[in-house]
Amino acid sequence: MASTRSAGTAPALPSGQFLRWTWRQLTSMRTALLLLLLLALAAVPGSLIPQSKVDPLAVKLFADKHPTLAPVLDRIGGFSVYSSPWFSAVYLLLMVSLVGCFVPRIAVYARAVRARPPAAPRNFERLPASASYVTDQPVPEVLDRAQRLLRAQRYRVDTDSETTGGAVRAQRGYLREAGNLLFHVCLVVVLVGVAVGSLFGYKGGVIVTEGEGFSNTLTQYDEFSAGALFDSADLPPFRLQLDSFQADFQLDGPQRGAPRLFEARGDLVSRPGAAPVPFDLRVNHPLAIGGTSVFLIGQGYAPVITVRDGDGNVVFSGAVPFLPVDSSYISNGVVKAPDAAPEQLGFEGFFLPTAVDTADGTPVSAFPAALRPRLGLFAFHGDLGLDAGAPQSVYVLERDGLTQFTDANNKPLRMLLEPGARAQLPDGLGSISFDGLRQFVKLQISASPGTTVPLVAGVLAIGGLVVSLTLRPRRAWVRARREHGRTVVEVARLDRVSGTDLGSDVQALVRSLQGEPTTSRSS
Amino acid sequence: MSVVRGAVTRPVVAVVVAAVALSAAGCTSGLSATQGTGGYVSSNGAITVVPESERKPAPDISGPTLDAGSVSLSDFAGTVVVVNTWGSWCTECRAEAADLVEVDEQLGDEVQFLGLNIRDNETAARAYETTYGVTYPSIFDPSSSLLLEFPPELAAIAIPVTYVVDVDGRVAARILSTTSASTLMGVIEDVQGSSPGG
Repeated sequence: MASTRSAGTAPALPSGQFLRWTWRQLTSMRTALLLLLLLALAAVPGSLIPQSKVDPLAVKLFADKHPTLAPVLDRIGGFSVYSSPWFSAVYLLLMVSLVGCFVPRIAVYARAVRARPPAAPRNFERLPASASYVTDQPVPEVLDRAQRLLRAQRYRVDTDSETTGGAVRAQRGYLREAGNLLFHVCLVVVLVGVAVGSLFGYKGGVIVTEGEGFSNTLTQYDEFSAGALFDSADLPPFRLQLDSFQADFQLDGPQRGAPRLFEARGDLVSRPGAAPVPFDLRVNHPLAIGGTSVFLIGQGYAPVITVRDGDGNVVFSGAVPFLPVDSSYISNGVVKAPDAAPEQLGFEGFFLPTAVDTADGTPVSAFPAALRPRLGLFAFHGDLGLDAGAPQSVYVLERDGLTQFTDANNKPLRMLLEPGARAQLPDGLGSISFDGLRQFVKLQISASPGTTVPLVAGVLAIGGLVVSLTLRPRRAWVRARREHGRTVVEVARLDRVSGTDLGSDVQALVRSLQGEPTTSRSS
Repeated sequence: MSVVRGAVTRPVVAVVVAAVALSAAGCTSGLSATQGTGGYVSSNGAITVVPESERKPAPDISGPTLDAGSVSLSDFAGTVVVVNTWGSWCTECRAEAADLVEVDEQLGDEVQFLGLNIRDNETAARAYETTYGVTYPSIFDPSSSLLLEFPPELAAIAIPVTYVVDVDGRVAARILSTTSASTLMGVIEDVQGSSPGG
């Protein structure tokens, strides 16, 4: 023979058959569940590794801290998990699996709903539960009664005439498959709904200091991320003005320092030209403006700082948000005075709301409220790197072109200011003063269109699941035939899900058919 | 940067149907794909010149100026106006400041410049003007409220953003990110060339 097949190799499936096999595997329930689990697992790294869509600065810090790991993670999409090819692949496969699973089943179900209940088998005794009895009632009367009884039990009923009598065929529990299908469809709707919400939605963060305002334009955001199909023209043109912010903390007891109340008050102008409406914003009580929600997600202190340069000109005067690093509200911040002369000035420092004097000068805050505020600063002069055009965070001082001011002992100069105090810089290069204290709020502004769709679909999915788990599809048949001048009645039932006592069910049906007991024989 | 980080980390199954979405976004010049870079949103640089027939009226922005006066866009009716949004803290703004001043001086009375200072404090903004020799007026608008009034399709999606308003008071062009003297001249000439008065 010209061709021989080496031993041990399975015969190759024809490609059409192979494709069909793959499709069946993909659309099987087991694969769908596996993919769902995989999706949950794939979402985990997204909450452990900083995501560039959420916080690009955190990604940069992470990369600085893990120089060998970061490039590897970057290559496999670790910093943008939810848009990485492998995450999308799992998501898309799950969708295909679910759709491929339920579309053919809907077709089958549609046919089954329209079809007559299955015909009575020839031999009832082969069924798991059957019984028969003999009566003097005529066949039509028995069948009629059987139909009425089964209809009352919410069976779908049909009759057949046979040579020596007739049979009733009945089935109920059609909703079980409907529930099952509803569950599958809703699962897909949830997946699509969440995807659509994130494609068209946006989320941004902004810090607003007391006395200042925010307009919903991209120039006002500190950070912003949006879905691929988001259009900046869709941002609702509202504006809000923050008048005051109140933060109350527990003063004593084991919960000392725990937040008690955070409340921001101000005015909201829902669109240019509209009348201002007062608002009152608290944690977990977002402000709703159309489809957009404004959440209060944090707060902190913004010392009011004035910087004078070497020529005696005021080159900076304003409230500077210092970002809290822990629950005692020790906060870090940066002041840049790029237009100071003769040299640019930069300051890096910490803010202590309730400063405690320590022997070694370690900055410690004893309480989150501003009971004894102190501002600690290190000063720099030189080139802030702001004029080259490269983007730079307003919360970070790029030290490359800067020289740190030192004290008489050649140690870094450290200034600790109380409110109202001013510190001179060495060599007549300027001064800095701590003029007052304001608070800031951190707001999260977000919209994900159609959030109700996944919610409603989720509820429906659970409903469908309950129906499909509790309803039992059941078939029943009653056959009556004339034999030796009397009527022989046979009754049978078949459950498509095991677990019920069919025997007693058949007996109950026989008793109600008979109305009164006669000779009965059960199998 | 976060304040009370991790308080609400929603396990959101995010951004999907990737292939379709990405290809769709690719057609729209990707302007919406902006990101925070630590404290503000920067852009990728793009110039939009609106054909004359499609221009919409510019909002009559007005407000207090940094030199304690007040100004409105309608003060310059009948002139091409360059509205430049800036902040003293914004590196891209500093990079283009000298070029704007150069074009302003070169064009003289032919074209009016109007600054829109956002997210700044007045002293820092004035120090910036001194540094770069800015002589044209700037409206002090720390909360960007005036930017809300520009046509949404030409929204200020990043800083800096420069609008060119034609002699009929319509928004004729938008330049995103740092611009240069030659680019700005080119855009102004485009706008002047298409205007009946220019």
